[in-house]
Amino acid sequence: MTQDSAEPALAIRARAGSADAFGRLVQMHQQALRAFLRRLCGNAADADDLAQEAFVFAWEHIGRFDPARPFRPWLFGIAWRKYRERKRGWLRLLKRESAAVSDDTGFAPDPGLKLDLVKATSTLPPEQRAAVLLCLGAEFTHAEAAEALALPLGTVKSHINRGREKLAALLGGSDG
Amino acid sequence: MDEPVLKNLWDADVPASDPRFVLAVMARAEQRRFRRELTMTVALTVAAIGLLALVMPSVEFAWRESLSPYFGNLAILGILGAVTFLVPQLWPVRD
Repeated sequence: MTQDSAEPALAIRARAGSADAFGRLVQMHQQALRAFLRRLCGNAADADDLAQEAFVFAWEHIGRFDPARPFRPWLFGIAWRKYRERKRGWLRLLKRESAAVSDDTGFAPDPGLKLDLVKATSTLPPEQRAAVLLCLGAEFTHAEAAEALALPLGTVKSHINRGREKLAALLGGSDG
Repeated sequence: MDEPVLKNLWDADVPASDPRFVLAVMARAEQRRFRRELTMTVALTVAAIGLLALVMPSVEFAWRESLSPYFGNLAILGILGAVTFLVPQLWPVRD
């Protein structure tokens, strides 16, 4: 794809300080990142804010990016860390450290999203949810997801298998 | 429910590409850069003022003790030198 072939060149230009190149990278990845965070958070406004934070952090720390590696896992890794940081803040604020897994997002569900899928996804533990969303929802390879989530490859594969089974079990009834 | 169905469900939830989002990201980055530079400038200014306030007594003392007592003599010497140099230039001797 043209986008895929343009990405390394844009990442190199952005690393050299080109705001225009970085703007194009934002344009290129915004949909996938916002979708990933929306599924993770369950709330569109918070997810978009988090996506902006992730992009701004990426721009400020673009010097740390290794141009020999793909840009997408690096960017999603930032987003995942930002999500966890913010969730910790929310949890601290709400004093819900010991809440049930189904309540661990700290977000109010957005009525615009498909509630069944959101509900089913929100029952997965955070790392499992992120792995499933990256590999099944954002077409990441297992290796890319492992890089983004800073997890061993085997753990990611196991998260995906378990997550997929759980989702299938939860959504299977309502679907058929 | 199999994997393709799951993917289709998620694909239906992908937000539309929004040019305003790109602008918002770049504006936020620029605001943060401006705030960082402003903070740095203010911090450096305050540090310079503090440093000056600290060294000023020493500078003032050095001026008063070493150069200040001779300031009058140096001024008179300068004026005499200037007059000696300028008078022949302004009113040359005529035969």
